Amino acid sequence: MKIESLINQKTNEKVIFYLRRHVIVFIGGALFIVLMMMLPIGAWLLANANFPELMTGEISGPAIVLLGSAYYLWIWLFLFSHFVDYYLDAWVITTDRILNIEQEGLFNRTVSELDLTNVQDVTSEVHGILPFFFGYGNVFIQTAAERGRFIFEQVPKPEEIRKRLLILVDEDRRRQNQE
Amino acid sequence: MSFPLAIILVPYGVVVVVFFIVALLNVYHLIHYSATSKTSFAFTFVFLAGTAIIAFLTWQAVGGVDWQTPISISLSSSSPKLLPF
Repeated sequence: MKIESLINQKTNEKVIFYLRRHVIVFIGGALFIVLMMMLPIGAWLLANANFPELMTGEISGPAIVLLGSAYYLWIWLFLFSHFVDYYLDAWVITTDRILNIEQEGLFNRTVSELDLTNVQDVTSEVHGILPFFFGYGNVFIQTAAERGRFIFEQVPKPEEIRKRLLILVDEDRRRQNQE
Repeated sequence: MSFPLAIILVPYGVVVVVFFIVALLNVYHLIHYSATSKTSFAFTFVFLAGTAIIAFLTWQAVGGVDWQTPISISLSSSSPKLLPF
């Protein structure tokens, strides 16, 4: 499924931004998961030093191997799921509307759409040391629609997005007035 | 009462089956929602390669195990009491 099908792109509509969270957000979570992978190694070293018969036992040895294998499979899967969750959350800004696509777990997906003419106010913010150095933050879009506010979370270059979005809103309103 | 050591493969098998189901669902989501870019292909490849490595290492580690080794659970009266009364 291409992006055109994903957003049901209209004839004269152009995609301006296809945004995801800044990659550093994904890397932060991934590093924590990699740290979790080190735990069995530490446990193995401790057990080998203090209870060496546990690792070589006829029953305990295979049981520990299978337990470790199951743990690593799950941590590895958790890392992949973390990537899929990061990758499938997206915000699309076109010349006509804004789409908020949120993947929550495996079976929950929310897609919200907002026409640019309903945008009342756009605010960008960068809070914290990491966001400041890596250049990412939040963009808040106040709307006149049923859903009062859209939030682009932890996106790169939020100021640029804010400026560009305001220009797009202005252009869209002019187009609507001419029609 | 005794069981063969192979019985511990049952919960491990359940874990592996659930793992594959969830992994397939993740790959399906990537394909279905147009996330088929170089990045997602690369990450999926790394994930599958890592899974293969874990499976191979597990297979190597338990390769020489005698799965018929009995695990005996005895509740004899001569066993030490866990409680003082």
